[in-house]
Amino acid sequence: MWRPIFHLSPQTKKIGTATFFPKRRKSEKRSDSFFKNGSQPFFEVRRLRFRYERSWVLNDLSFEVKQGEILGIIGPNGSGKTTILRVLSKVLIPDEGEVYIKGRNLLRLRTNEVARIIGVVPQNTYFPFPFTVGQVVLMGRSPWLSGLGFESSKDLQIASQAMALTNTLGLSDRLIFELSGGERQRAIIARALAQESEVMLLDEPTAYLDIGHQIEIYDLIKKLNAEKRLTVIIVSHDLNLAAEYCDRLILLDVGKIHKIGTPKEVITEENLSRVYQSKVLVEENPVTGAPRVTLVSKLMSKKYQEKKLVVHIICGGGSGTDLMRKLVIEGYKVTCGVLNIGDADELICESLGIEVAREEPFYPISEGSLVRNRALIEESDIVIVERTKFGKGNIRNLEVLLEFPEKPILLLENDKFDYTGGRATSIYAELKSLGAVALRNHSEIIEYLEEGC
Amino acid sequence: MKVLSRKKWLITILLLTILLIGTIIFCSFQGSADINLKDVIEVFSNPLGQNWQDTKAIILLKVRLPRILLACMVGGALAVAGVVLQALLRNPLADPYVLGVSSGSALGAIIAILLGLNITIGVLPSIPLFGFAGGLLTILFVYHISKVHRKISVQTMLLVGVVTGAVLAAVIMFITSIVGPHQVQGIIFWLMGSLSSQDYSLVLIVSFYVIIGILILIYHARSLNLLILGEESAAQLGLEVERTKKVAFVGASLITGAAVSVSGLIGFVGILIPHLMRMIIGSDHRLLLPVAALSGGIYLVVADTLARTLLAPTEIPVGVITAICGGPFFIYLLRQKK
Amino acid sequence: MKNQFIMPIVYILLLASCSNQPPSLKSSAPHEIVCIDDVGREVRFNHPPQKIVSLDPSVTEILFALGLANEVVGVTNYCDYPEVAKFKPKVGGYLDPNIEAIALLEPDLVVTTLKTDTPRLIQQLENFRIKVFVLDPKNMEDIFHNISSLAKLTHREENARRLVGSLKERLTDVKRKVDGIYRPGVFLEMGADPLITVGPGSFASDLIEIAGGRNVFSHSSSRYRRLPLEEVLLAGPEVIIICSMVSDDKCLAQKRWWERWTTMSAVRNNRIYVVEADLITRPGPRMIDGLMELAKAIHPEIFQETKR
Repeated sequence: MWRPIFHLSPQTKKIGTATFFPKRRKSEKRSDSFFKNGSQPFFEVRRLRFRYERSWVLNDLSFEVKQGEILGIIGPNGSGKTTILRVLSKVLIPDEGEVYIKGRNLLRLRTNEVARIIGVVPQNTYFPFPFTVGQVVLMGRSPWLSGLGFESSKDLQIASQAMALTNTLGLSDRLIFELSGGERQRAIIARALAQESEVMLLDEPTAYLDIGHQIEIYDLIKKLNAEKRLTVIIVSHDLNLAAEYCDRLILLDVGKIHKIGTPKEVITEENLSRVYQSKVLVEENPVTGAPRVTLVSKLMSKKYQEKKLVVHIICGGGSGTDLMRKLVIEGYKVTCGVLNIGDADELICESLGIEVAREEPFYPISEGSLVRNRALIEESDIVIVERTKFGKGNIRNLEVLLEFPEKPILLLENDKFDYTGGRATSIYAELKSLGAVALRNHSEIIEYLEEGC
Repeated sequence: MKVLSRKKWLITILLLTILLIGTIIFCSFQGSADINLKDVIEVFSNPLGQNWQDTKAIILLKVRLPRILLACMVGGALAVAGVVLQALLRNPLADPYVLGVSSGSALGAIIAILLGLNITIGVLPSIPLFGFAGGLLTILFVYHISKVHRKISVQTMLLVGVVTGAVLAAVIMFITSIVGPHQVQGIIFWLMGSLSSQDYSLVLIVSFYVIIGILILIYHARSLNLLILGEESAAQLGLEVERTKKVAFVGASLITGAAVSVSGLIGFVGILIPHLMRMIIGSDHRLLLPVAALSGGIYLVVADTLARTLLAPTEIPVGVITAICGGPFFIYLLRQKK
Repeated sequence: MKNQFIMPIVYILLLASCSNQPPSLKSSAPHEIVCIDDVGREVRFNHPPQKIVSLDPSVTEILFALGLANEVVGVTNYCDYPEVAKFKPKVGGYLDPNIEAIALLEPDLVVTTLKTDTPRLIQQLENFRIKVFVLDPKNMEDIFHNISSLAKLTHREENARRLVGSLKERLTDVKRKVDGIYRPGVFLEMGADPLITVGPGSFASDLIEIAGGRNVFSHSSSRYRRLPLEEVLLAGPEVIIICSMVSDDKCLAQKRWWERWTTMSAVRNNRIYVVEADLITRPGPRMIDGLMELAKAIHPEIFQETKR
């Protein structure tokens, strides 16, 4: 083995004995920051203000980043997401406010020291000259090298491990600009990993990747976070991925924090529509339970401004979801009832902000909920009965309509829906004879409602 | 994974150094005077005590050797400056003359020629001295103008350098147009670039200067690797970006200024050697810089030898040889790589 | 014997005539020749140089005119007069003499005119103990002086006396003949494209004045200047002289080109002449021939009719 001639810095020597990531270091001198749950935050940002030219890009930001968490920063373009990363990595100096990292003021640290703690994965990279992937990843060892810095075998080992983790080991001798977008991004992540930092900042790491690669990257980040207690701050445009993988989210709005908290707390229709200035629909991912965002066309959401009819829908078991969405988009105020808590339609109502008459889960409709239902029907302009299957549990939803002979009712053509031994069918017939209109599909309903307006 | 080990580094540099020394020795045979191996060995083995009346010995030691050494220094300086500026400007098309230092040196030298200061034979001849002063002033100017809030803006520097170079070149053109034919000849001759024999004092000063400059730049080689990633990424990997930019700019410009003041504008070395070497050994500046220095020296020594022997006693301007021989060879290599 | 007297006398005479400055106070050996060149350097010889290298065509002409054909061992690529000079070994071009080639010839003396490279040349040749004599003539007097200096160095004083004498005689003759008469305006075309003419301080301009003409651009600030055609037309010269460095056909074409501009009296009176450039730019003995050509062109009524 070639023995190194030059003196290796103490840190480099230490790395030789440590495992891939250093064990959690004891915090150094503590700042006077407040302690949450007894643990010192990794980053502490206080009243941060920054501007490039005239207007403040970051305006009075204060937040903490806990050690070992995955924090996502979301927000529209120009809200300052990338700028935060730049300030945190000491590329930019704040105009006002302070940034503390593990209790120490960031500005007091040398560039080298910062690089040993923070690894950054930029959004895109450009290489005017041919470097191999191996060379690029080894550049991640720079904060630990000095002078001509010939890498030791330990450095190589660390770099190899980083490449193994990112599945780029086989690419090590290829030229970096020959790689595809996904491969290149993984190589850059490997470089950040080779830095052996405690924090990784990622700026839209999946912006140019296809879905498969996106999941790959995020899974990798999750794994590193779990196994190595790597603190991660990730800026993302992709709200769904951010919601899935992040422990906490910061929603930025023109340099200020609109909301900070768990994905469920942050990703709500109200927050998003206010910040992004567009209508969104927020649901729950049926598999993971994380919030899931659907964007709504602006054309459609214009109608939301106009006050329209109040429509009450009789549905259940998922039959009303589609119609509810369409009506909400069209701008109608929708109410619903009676639905059991936990019913698929009830969840949609929850996320769309629709008033519902609720019943206990799996319970047949009781008088209490019916009262509420009656009230809602009373206030509505028109009632629509969806293609619901009616059984003993919810037949009272149909029956109650008979109490409102004056109320305009729309029935959707229904087939094989009667599980009440004929009762539902007869109510249908009676309602029709009272003037209820039978329509075949949603378009007809919407047309009808339009004309009615 | 292929990586640069200390061993590989040392061996490569050693081999190239041996090649350089061999080239120097071989080229000292070549010239109008017919000097053979016996003469060379005689001279080199007893450099101080040899017969001073022996014309051949004097030719070797006092005419050819200083010139060859100068060629070595100038070639190395231009090649290294080319590599460094390409890294600093993140642009493969950069060459040592892009930032205007060469035009400043040229103007200084031409002013010395015109003022007839060529007659003063002090310790240092005045033309290179003025040339270097001109280069220095240009460096200061470009440096100052390209500072934005006490930081060097590389894009600004490139533009300022190009414009400054163009303006100075126009001034030179103007001067050339109004002086008499004899002086025009002198000016054009100087501009074409030539490595005429100089006194050892000048050769030593230039060598000292260039070698120190190259060594400092080699020390920052790893920083140059990082700088190519972009200033933001480099800073995030722990690089003191401003300091590196300053060292790179000043270092490359000073050695270019020194080279141009003694040799005029010799083209092609500063862009051919960097690309050639990068094709062969890769972009790691820790190896690329010393290799460029040594191979630049070898290249120019060979080119200059061809320049003074092909049509002896007439000398072809060395810039012609570097371009005509280097160009096609480079294109050939490019096609091979494809 | 005669020699014993002649040497000291000649020595004193030469010392007196050689430099315009007071004689050097350094002691010199009895047979030593000392001369100071045009840049103030002292050149000493114990015996006259046997091998001389010339680094300028004008120097070559002077050396050959002094009868030093055998002593000349090296010339530049451009030394083309006299014819035999072309066959001498070459040491390089006008501005870039090849040091090695010079050194190999092992000359005793190198004579050059002052150029950009001269200090370096002197320094380099010093390594070989080769002496360099630098000429820098500014006018006819300087040329005569140079001829004498070189003659002194090479022991050809007799030849010099005769040569300079005859040249001076012809010069005086011309001056006398044109004294007091009308001086026609003369335009000298040094270069055709771009158009270049001569101004005060250049040999050609001085020669025009001596030949009885008036350089229409004698108010120029520089010795050579580029100028637009309109200035020439405005100046309205009575005589146009084309300086030919190349073949006759080119000059004929140039002449024809001038003939279009009939506003000038020179064209109307058909007074466009061609003169060989070397005769009026090389500071050597043939400058008087050049003067004669100019005189014939400017005052054909006085001097012989010259070919148009």
